[in-house]
Amino acid sequence: MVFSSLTFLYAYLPIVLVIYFTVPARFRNLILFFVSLFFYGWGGPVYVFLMIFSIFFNFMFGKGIAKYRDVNQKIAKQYLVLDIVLNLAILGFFKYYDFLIGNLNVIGLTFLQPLHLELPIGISFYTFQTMSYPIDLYRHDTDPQKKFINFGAYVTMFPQLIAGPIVRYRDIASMLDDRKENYAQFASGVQRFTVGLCKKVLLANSAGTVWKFVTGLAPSETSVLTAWLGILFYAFQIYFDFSGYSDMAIGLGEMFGFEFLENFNYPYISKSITDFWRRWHMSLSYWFRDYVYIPLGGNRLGLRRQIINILIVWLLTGFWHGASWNFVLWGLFYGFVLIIEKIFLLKNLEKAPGWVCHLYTIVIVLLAWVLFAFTNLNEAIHYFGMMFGSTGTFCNQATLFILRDHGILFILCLLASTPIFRTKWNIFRKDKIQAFLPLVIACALLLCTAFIVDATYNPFLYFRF
Amino acid sequence: MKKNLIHKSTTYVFLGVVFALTITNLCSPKQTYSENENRTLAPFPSLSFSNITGGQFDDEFETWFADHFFARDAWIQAKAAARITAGANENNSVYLGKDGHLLGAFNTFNPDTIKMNIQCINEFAQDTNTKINIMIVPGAVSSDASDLPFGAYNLNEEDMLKQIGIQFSQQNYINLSAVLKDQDAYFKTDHHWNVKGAYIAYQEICSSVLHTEPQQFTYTQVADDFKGTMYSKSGAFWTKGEPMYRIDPKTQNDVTVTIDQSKAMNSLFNEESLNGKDKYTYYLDGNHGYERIQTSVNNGKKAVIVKDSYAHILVPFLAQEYSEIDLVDLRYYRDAVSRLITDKETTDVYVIYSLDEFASDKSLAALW
Repeated sequence: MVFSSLTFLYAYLPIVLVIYFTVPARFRNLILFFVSLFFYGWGGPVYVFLMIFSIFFNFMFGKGIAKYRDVNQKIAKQYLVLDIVLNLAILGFFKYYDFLIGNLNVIGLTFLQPLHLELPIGISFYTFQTMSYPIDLYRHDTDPQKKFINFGAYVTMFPQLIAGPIVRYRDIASMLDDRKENYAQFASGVQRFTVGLCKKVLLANSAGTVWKFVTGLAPSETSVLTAWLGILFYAFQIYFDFSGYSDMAIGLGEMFGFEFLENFNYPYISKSITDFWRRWHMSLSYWFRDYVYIPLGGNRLGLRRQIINILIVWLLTGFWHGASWNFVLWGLFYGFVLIIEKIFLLKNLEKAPGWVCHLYTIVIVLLAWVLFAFTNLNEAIHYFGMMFGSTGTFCNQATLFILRDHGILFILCLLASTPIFRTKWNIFRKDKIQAFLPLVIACALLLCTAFIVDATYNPFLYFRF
Repeated sequence: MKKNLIHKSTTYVFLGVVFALTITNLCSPKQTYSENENRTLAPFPSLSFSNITGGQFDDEFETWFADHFFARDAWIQAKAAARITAGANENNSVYLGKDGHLLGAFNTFNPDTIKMNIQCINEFAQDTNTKINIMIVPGAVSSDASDLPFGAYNLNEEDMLKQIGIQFSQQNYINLSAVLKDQDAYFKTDHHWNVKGAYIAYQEICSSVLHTEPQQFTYTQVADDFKGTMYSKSGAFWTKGEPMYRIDPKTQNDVTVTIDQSKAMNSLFNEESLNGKDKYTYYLDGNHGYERIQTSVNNGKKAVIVKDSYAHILVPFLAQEYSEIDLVDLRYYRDAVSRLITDKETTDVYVIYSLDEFASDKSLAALW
């Protein structure tokens, strides 16, 4: 069940709100735990057991680490290592086993066959999230959670369960034990959720149809400009989809009294790739920084070691996004660009005019999205070709169509990628207009509902079947 | 104080909308059939253990929930209106053209399908030793291109039809591109051509196949609120309906229509269709695998027509020229078409398809 579905908005959410706010505060974590398990089990009931197992062993190992971390470092460390191995083994088995076997098969080792298991929803997110607990415990960055229910509520919490942000335990530990829901926070959550819903339903989905249209065109019909517009719309789709989902998660969290850390900070206005990755999927970057890059030595062991560390982190980042070579390539591509920036480019960029930095960044990001979009490398190369003129036309009727039919969408996406609606054009800062905020939210919800209903509209025209 | 008021009102307006929609949806009566979508809506999923643990239940439930969401058509219309307000010139791949003309976009096709269809027809002609009369009908986006909104993009159908014609050099290929151009030969809310378009095609058949003068017909309006497939697909439900016409010859002609060797009618028109939404089925009762039409025309001539639904509105004209017409829709017909060609001397074989269907339908392979 995704947040942008009728089932979530007009069945699950109202029921959860009613139950959650009618029970006394001390039962709210329990309720959150159960409704989240239901939410998780909705897409595949079997994996609920995997989830409960995961919660259970992390909780128990956590207990062990907490018990020994001050008395016997060695035992505490053993607990930690075992816990990490177990977490990664589960993730590895479900997410990467088939990929590994597939590659072995390719090089002629066929003693094992792929299992074609369905990937447990959100496993990449919740594994990382859960692992932050034992690690932070070991490092004395947080105190142990005494109640299983509270820990369970933390891991399963449906707002961020399946697509992040990756919430570290220490960041919400205090809220798990004690929080007071209030109107200011709920209203802020409503705003945030609505913004996220609009991003997902109105912008991301619409941009997605343009991308689909472009990739469906015959190569001879794809002009240079169309290819660039196509990947731009893909960039919009993926950004508004993901950041919209994060907004909805953060908004829902606020409704239930939690403050999650931000996950996106207008990445497309970055002036360098280094800057971009401080603004894009921040919770993942922090995770890799705190739990991989710094433990590996970060930048403290000399430039050579730093470069190796960066490459390791980016290899893993790519791999985290999916069990496929194109993601590995995508990650390594960013790794190389970041190393180049670190060595000399960043210093030069600082001296260059702003527009040069923006142009450089966006071109790199778009090229990377091509690698990300096509799991098949040949298709990616073919698309690069079209972007750089392999079809010989700069602009044609199809280009005009995209600009005419989706021009306003394009401008809206462009503006919404910048903070302008928050800063210069933020009409809601004026007191008089602020009174209309609830009305605007109501209209936005209704508009999103219309778009969601329309997406399920499936005219069965008798000449097509 | 004022801030607090806004927080409270934001909270309650949000809850109000969510709960109002939830409750309205819960209480509104459920439908089983969607006229605009021309399909039966999803039933409530089975609550069996295997269905729930197997992981189908969630998808089925969500489809059911969406299919039966209250005021479905109103939401869809609202989305269409929002798209148009945001400057789009199409919705769900239907262009909103001039004077309420809704035109289905034609911008992707599979070249392999066309290639295969051409090959099948040529091989069939060779096998049965017949010369086939082929009519691939361009769509409204091509013939009525002047109705398209600014910035519309479609593949060049005229070019495609020319190219197809070259590969049918052994057959009698009738290219309608020029004669249908700017003739208002299509319904405004449906993808089919109208009586005018069909009559133009009839004239072409008279000159290139039958070598006779076309006859005259009378047209009687039988409906004034036909809302066709493009109306449904576009979501532009504010578009007005349009008239439909019955086609009658000037001389009396008694016909019997036998559908799939069972159901029989003695008219080329099904009056009952006029009460429903899908009014185009007025002509020849819609899609059937096989229909045999016997007429009181006494010339011993027979036509075998392999077709899609474009032919339905053309048959009332052709019925004046043949004693017997066999209509075959390969999407449903499972017998060998060659068996219908009993006497080559007196039989004309036709393939009549819309270009849209010809470029996407793979069932022509069943010809051969």
